[in-house]
Parts: sequence; structure tokens; C-alpha cells
Amino acid sequence: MQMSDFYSGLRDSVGDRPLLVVLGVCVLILLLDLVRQLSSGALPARNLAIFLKNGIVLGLIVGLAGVGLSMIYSILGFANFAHGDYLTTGAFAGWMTSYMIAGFGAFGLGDLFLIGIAGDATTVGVGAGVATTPIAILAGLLVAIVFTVFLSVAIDRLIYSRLRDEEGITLVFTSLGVALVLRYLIAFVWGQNSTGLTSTAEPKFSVSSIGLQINAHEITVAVCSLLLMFAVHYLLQYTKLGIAMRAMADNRDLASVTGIPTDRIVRSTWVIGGGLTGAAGYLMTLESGTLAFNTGWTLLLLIFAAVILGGIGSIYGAIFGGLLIGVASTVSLVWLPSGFTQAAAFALMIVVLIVRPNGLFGGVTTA
Amino acid sequence: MSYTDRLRDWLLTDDAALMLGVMTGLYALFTVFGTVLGLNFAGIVSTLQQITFFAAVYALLALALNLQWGYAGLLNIGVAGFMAVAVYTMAMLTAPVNAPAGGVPGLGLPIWVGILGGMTVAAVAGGVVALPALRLKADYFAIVTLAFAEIIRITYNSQLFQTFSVAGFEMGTGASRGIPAPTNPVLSLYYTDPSNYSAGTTAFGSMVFGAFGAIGLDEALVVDITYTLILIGFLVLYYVLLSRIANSPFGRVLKAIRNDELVARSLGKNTRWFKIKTFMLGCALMGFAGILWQGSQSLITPTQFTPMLTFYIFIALIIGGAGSNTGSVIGGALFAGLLFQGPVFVSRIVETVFSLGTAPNTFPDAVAGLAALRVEPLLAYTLSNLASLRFVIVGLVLIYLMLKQPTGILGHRKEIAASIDITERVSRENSVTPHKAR
Amino acid sequence: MVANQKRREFIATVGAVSAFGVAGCLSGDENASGNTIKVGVMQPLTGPLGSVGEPARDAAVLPAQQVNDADIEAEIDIQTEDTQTDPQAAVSAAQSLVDADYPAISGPLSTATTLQVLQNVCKPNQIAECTLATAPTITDVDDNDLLFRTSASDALMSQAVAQLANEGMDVSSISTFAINDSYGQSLANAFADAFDGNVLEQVSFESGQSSYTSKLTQALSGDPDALFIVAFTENGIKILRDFYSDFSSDTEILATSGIYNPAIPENVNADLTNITGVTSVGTGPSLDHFNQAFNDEYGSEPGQFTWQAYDATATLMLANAAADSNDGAAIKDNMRQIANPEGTEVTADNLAEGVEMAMNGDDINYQGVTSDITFDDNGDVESGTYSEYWFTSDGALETGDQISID
Repeated sequence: MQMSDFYSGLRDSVGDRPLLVVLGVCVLILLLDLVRQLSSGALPARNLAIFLKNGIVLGLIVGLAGVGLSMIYSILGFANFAHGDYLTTGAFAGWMTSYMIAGFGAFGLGDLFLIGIAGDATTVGVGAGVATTPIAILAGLLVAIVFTVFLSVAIDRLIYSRLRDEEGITLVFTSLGVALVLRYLIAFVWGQNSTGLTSTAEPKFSVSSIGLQINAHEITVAVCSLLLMFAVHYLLQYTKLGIAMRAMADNRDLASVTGIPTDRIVRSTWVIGGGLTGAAGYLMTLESGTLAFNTGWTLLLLIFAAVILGGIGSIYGAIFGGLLIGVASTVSLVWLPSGFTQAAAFALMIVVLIVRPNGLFGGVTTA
Repeated sequence: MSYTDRLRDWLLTDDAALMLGVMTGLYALFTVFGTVLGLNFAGIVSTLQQITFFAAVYALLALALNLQWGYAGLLNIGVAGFMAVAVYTMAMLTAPVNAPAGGVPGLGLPIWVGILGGMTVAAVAGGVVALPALRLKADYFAIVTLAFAEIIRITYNSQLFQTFSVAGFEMGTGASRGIPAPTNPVLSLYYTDPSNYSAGTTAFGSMVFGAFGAIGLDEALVVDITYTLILIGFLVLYYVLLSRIANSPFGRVLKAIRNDELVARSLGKNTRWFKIKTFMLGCALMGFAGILWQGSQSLITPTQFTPMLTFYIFIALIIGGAGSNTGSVIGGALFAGLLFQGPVFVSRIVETVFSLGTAPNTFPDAVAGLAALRVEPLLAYTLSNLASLRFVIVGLVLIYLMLKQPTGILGHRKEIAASIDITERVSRENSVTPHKAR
Repeated sequence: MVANQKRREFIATVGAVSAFGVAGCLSGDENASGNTIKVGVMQPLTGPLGSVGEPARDAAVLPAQQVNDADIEAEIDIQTEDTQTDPQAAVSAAQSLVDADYPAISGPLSTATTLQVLQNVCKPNQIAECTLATAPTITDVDDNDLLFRTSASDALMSQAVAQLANEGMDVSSISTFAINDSYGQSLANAFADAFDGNVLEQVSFESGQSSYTSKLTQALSGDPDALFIVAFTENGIKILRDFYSDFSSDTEILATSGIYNPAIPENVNADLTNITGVTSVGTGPSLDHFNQAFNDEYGSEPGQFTWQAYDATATLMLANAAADSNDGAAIKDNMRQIANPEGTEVTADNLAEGVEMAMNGDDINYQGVTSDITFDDNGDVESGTYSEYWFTSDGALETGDQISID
């Protein structure tokens, strides 16, 4: 039903918006040029395949983190600038667990606590990876989720709940304060370095026709993010909680009047949003193999771009927006100088918003 | 004198008193900080000069932002981008045609042309963003401005435009190495040759330097103080200009739009055009503030225009109270004092005063001491990692301010869109006198 | 890192009383007596360069600790400041050093902060500055002779790498892969100018990305003989991990000081034998002693810019001692005096004695960690000697032939 909304919206816009036509022509030209470059050999198929693979993996992580941000945005009405740092915190909690399990006995607890950023527990020595230490990875993912849930609910209780009736902008800058505290507490404990975390001896699968390699970590990231996204979709679409959440996103006062316990819904939102964010942080580190105190902050602008591009409040929007942003930031290398990849992702978002002011899935609140 | 007049006068003096009080408080605080650090008289004066400088530039920027956000409700979180446009344009227009080693070629125009050009281009950039983006809701509009600012920064950082030529004129951005800013005109007030101080001072320079030298303040400090005074002059201009705008029919329309755009539109106001004009004016003012600040400091680099700069300006506005010009000024001062410089001084004092010898290298080692009931390892570790903790303090102070005064220090004041305040139940004899806005 | 085991021991005598005593009173204004040598240290402890700046700060305060631990007349008074990798914050921090009467600044690290601090603080107040920034522009800047630097200019470094590529390795086509800041841009550009052959792609990357594979793909798309990587250690680890995971080791890798770090092999976990690098470190007479001292003090291997940071503080300290005054102009006049030939050789091993000798007016010649440190007319280090380095198949970092540039 949402998709049909989307298409009918698209049809309407073509009628009264010549802008969309221009945009369509531009996309068509780019696609034709892509085909030309591929057939002339200027762009090897392997390069494009690598761009797409990386873009999709990045996009899934951005999308997963974006779903959490988007839900909180629509239900609590403010952009949580601490979201990126929730992601980092989750990743640190998760990887600490993974290291404690994978390197138990071989290294001191203090060294494992520092996950190789300082201390003696080296990447090679611990060798954490999906194939080598699957239990440690699974436990780490779970702890990342649980810890971030705990963190987001606690911060909401402690800080945000006291500002429920204030304007969004007050909450935005409160969350900026929370972001600073979290980020630099991590820097205080772990330092600002980043080193390798994961084992590099992972099984690889190659698509020999184009020479593309996909490793076990990338597959794990893709599978886990898709599973989590489907779980959220099911939850929002078919459970009582999901229906209540959607009602609250639409109209908070009305939801309250009809007897929906808004406080409990808010808490559930943080639980789901926080959990997804923690998972995104852990998975991102699994794929990239490195983690630093500012990992999430660096990613935050892209997550925002994804959420806005998809339309605030829509989880499909966040996922689709994440994929678009991710792919744009890699495939743009075909045409643009390498310094402009992020700029391309932002430009894409601006262009989409000019054509569809409410984002791609806008007007469809929370699922 | 009517009751309203007296009320107004009292409020006006109250505003002035409030600003004076805040500055006095900050000066007292930093004098104490300086004394604890063991600074001499010149050191303390220089510290206060720095506080004033940052208070002034943040106040200038907060005032410009207040026009956009406080009055017109336009959520611009790309302030750094518009500042960058103005500052870079100014530098590119005024850079010498034949660049010296390490410099960037420019058009070699006089500095006032550069400043006007910078403001104009910033305003045009604001228009270009606002024209299509104003159809968006506030949150979407905000992220567009942020994305725009990032694209601007990435562009200035790119080697693509390090040097280029337009219609035969060589110019460039200098890429990540930056572009030298023109010599600060204040210097030529004091020195015969601003690029070489040893060439001698002007008559005015000798006089002023002599007077201040007698009380132990050296030339560099006198120059800095002069420039800070000029900034304060511009701050007064900004304040008067924006207060007048707020009080004009134009300003009342803006406030009406902020309160209820639909009503404003149904009264026949072309709200979109009002918003675009306001946005462009705000951008030009931000640009000029950027030139006064970043353009005065010899080198302009893309790293100066990160989103964090925008957030800082917003924090200044929010803790002062959006919608109030006095609040913007006070917010700028409080931000500069309590959030920008305060934690730096506190950590500096902690570093000088406490000396705990050698520190453990990692956090677990530091905590391990606690098990043996020894606190010093953790304290020593804390001391050697104060730089990170400083930002934790900034965050905590910000959260505290938000929780204490969610709407800012002066945010509780309601400014009225109508020229007659119908909520005011006072003697009606002279109530047609416009209610002065702050 | 086996050496990591060696932790600093606590001075058990530091009790609560001395801990909270007002040490500020002790270090007061003794500059008149000439026994207190004041040096300000500025490094980026937060911001984008925080991870590089922290160890550099540690190294920069090390000379002071060595001298203060020794039993000599002089006391070194150090104040460290954080530039936040931001020119504005750097100017403000430098100003606070001037306010506290520090006559010389060791650091900062990036070119932009160095130039801002020079123009806004050092020149007006006559403060000596000894930077670690590598951009060629530092050489020619109009600095009233106040600006020195202990790291090598990119102009020379790029020639050394180009020479290695052209003559040592017989590379005819190359792509550059450089961090998108002034360090990366300036070194990659200088190299592209100096290299005699085809430069296929010049790719720039941002710090802290989750994957560099796409950009590496772009850089390697013309199938160059070699890839020239300009990165800090932190990015280097990630880039090399991505490189070995997706690309063939047939492509040679040329590197600079960022990859010159014994932590690379254990974090990358691949056969690194296709990496050949050039570092300006490895020729200084004090190198071994410094490495040992750093490891003893901080429990980790010294990394990029630590060597230069040590030399910066050491030279400023010695110049201050030789000038016998906390005056920036006098310090700058003595920099060449204590660093350039003629005189008793002073190394990191006998630094405290060196300070004493300088105070006594003896002619000394500081032999640094990075090189023998001889300042030319521009305040740059004269020695154009670089070392080639590589990794063995079992992950050891080895330094070899010297490359001389004139």
C-alpha cells in the first residue's frame, strides 16, 4: 500500500513538476554514460561491481542506524545528534565482549578491555572473526544491542524526559551535549587511536565472471541488517505495539486521548531504535575492521541524509535512503574527483528533496 | 512621562544592565582564573581581551542567526558554509595578482570591495539555497542547509580549485592549505608598514603604544584590544540594526510568520518572499561577521568551517534565548566564557595546580589502583588525559544549561507581532507608542 | 608489543598532600634568575589529528622530564596546550602561552595552525616557534626568523620518494593515494611533480571512513606499477587492510613516515613485502636512546612525529639555556648556535649535561633524534638524508640504505 502511494505520488509530481522530468533526463544521461563507459572499457565491470558492493554494505549499515534515528525523530519530534555516538558506544561494548570471549585466557582482562587500541591484545593474537570465533561475534552483537538499549533508555530517563514539552531545537542541542559527553568519555577511556580489530583470515567467495570478492564479514553484515530490518517491519506492521507507535507518530495527543500509554511507547521506541543502532555499530566495525571514538560521529551526517532523503518517520525510507546514499558515495567515483564522494551523497539528497519535499517516502509516517 | 515610557526605559536599562552584569561576571571569573594561573597584569588583560573577542564574534553571529531562526523561524544549520563563502570571496578578491611564494593569486582589489563582494556572494548563496528549499518543512530545510555547507567546505578543500582562471584572471582557493587573508587594516593605524613592524610606528601608534607601554601592556596586546573594540562597535551596529528591523513593519510580518504562517499569508503577505529576503540578509550579516572574525587572522583554511562551528553559534543563540537580540548577545558572551574558554582554563588550572607525577598509560591500569584502594593512579591518568575530559565538561555544561533554562536566559520573553501589545493591561493613554523589542 | 609490559612505576611518595599542594607557587616567575627554562608545547590533542598529536605531545614533554630528573641547576617549566586541530583554538592557546610568559613554542603539527600561530602570536610578540609541519610553504614564509622546524620539508621528502621509485625500484607508472588535508595534498602534489614517469590517478581520501576499497579501486584502475600512499598510521592500517583483502600484492606500495610503524604488521596481518617506504627517521644519533626512553615512559612504540617533537622541545630548551633568558628573540638567535656544528656534541643521552653546558656558555652541537639537526637560513633542517624501510615476510620493520637529496 505504501509503495502504491509512492507511485501515485510520483505520477502526480510528473504532471505539475517539470523539475522531475529534468532530473529524470539527467539520471538517464548518467546511466547511458555508465553503459558507454562499461562497453568501451573505460570503466572495468569489476570496478563498478566493487563500487556497488561497498555502497550497498555501507548503505545497509547507514539504513539500519537510520531506522532508529527516524523512529525517534517521528515519535519524539527531535533530531537526536547523539545517535552516532550511541552507535559508537554500542560498538565498543560489543567488541569488548567479543574480545573478552575470543581472547579469554590468552591475554589479561585489562588488555582485552582495551580491544587492541592500547595494550597487548593484538588483532592477530585474538583473531576475532565470524569464521574463527563465531560465538564471540554473536555474543558481541547481542551485548552491543542490549547495552545500547540500556544506554538510550537511561539517557532518556535522565535527560530527555525532562524536556518532553520543550521545542525540538532545545532537545537537539541537549542531544549535542550528550553526544560530546559520550564521545569524549570513550576517548578518555580508550584513547583516540584506532587499530585493526577483526581477523583478516576470513573465507572469501568470489564471483569469478567479474572478479568480485565478497568476504564472510560482508555477508554477515548484509544478512544481519536485512533480518533486523524485517523484524522491525513485522513489529510495526503486525503487533499492537507497532500500531500504537504509528498512531503516536501521527498524532500524539489523539493517541494519548484514545488510551495509548504514551510513556511506554516512548520507551519502546528507544528500545527498538537504540537496539538497531547498537547492532549497526557492531556490524559496521565487523565489516570495516577498525573502530575509533569518533566512528559514529563521522557517520552521523550520512545517517541524517539517509533519513531525510527517505522521509522522516518512514522505516522503508530510511533503508532506501541509506542504500541510495551509500551507493551514491561510491558510484560517484565514476564521474567525480575522489574528494567529492561525500559531496555527491549530499547533493543527491538536496536534489531529491527539491523534487519531493517530504522525502521519497514522505507523508507515510512510521512504516 | 507615561507609564509605558518609563516601563520601556526601565526595560532598556535593564537589558543594558543585564549585558553589563554578564560581562562583569565573566571578567571577574577570568581574573580569578588568571590570578590562580599566576598571570601578571598584562596576562590578565590579554585573557580578558580574548574573552571579549570571542564573546563579540559569537554575539555577532548569534544576532545574525537570530534574524533567521528567532524572527523568521528559518532553521539554518549551515552557518559555517555561508561564512566560508563570504570569507573566501573576500580573500580571493583581495589577494595580490602576483602571489608571493606560498600564496594564491587573486584579483588584487581593495579590501572594502572584498568585504562587500563577500557579503553579496553570501547573500546570493543564501538566496540560491532558500529559493528551492523554502518549500520544505523546517527539519528538511535544516538538513539541506547543513548539506550545502558541507559541499561548500569540500569544494574549498578540493585541489580542483586550488588555482583556476576566469576570463583570463588567475585566482584560487588554495585548497586545504588555505588562502592568506589581507593584512588587518588596524595594523596600518599603528605601523607605517604593517608587514614589517620594525619599519616604525605611526605618530598615533607611538602615542598609544607609549601610553599603554607605561602600564605594562605591549604593542601586540594594544593592537588586539583595538581590534576587539572595533568588533564591539560593529556589535552595537548589528544590535541597533536588528532591533530596528524587528520593530519595523517588516519585522512584525516576520514575527507573524513565525507565530502562524497561515494567518500571515491569509492577511495578504507574500510570506515566501519575506522569508527569502530575511534569509539573504541573515547570510550577508553572517558573512560579514565571518570576515570580521576568520578574515582577520592571516590565513583562511577549510578546517575552520566545520559543522561544529555552526553548532557553537546555535548553542550561543539557544542559551541566550532565540527570538531576543539581547539574548543573542548575552548568549554569545556566555558561550565564549562558559563553554568555549571556561573548560580550557579549568583544565589549564588543574594541570598547573595539581602535580601527580607519572601516570599509568591505560585506563585499566589506572582503575587497577582502585582495587588496592589507591586513587592517585586514576587521578594521574585523568590529569594526563584532560584534553578529552574538557569536551565532556563542555557537554555536561550544555546539558545543564538546557535543563535549567530550556528556552534560554531570555527565551521566556514573548515578543509581540502587533504594533500594539494587547496583552499589556496598563494605562491606555499612550499605548500607541510602539513596544520596543529587544 | 612485547615492550609494552614495561610500565612506568608510580612514585609511591606522591601522597595526597603533595598531590593537592599548589605546585603553581613553586614554578613561579623565576625567569630573572635564569634558572627556569620555559617552553610551551602545542599539539593537537583533540580533533582530526588528535591520535597523531597525543604521542607527539608525550614526546615533546620528554626532554623536560629528563632534565628535571637529572640533578642540575636548571628547571624546565613546560605548559602543554591543545590546538584542537583548529587554527582558531590554536591561536587562542598560543596567546595563553604568551600571557603566561612562555617565550617559545614547541609545535604545533599542522601547517595551518603553524602559520596562524606564527602570524597572529609569534611575530607580534617575538616568540620562537619550532614546528613539525611539513609543507614546503613553511620554508619561504616571512617569519622574522622566528620559525624553525625539525621535520623535513615535503619538497625534499617527495624527491627522496621519487628517486627511490625511479632509480631504486624502476617504477614507470604510479598512482597516488593521499589523505585529503594539507599534509596529504601537499606531499602528493610535490611527489607528482618530482616523479619521472606516468602519474595515472591522484586519489584523495577522508580520514575515518568505513571502507577505502572503492577509492583504492579507483586509484588502481589504470593498473599502475606502484601506489604511493600518504596517510597517518591510523588510516594506513585501514587502507592496507582493505588493499590486501581485495587487491593483488603485485602492485608495489610506496609509503612515507605514516607506515613506518612497528604496529602495522600485527594490525594488518598480511604479507607486507611489497611495501617500500622512505622515512626521515633513522639517521639521528639520538634515535636509539629516544626510542628506549619513550618506551620506558609511555609503554608504547614511538610513532609518526614523536621524533620531531622531541627534537623541537630539546632545541628550544638548549637555545633558551644558551641565551640565558626567557626571551623569544634571544632564543631564536641561539637556535643555530646550539644545533649547528662546532661544539661539544649533545644527544638525548646527555641532554641535561647539554643544558648545563649551554648555560655555562659552552659551544654545543645538538645531535637530534631525526637527524644531526643543522638549521639552515630558513630555519629548516639542512640534512637531506632519508632512509629506505621495508617489512620482512615475518613482519619485522627494517631500515636500510640512505637516500641523499641535495
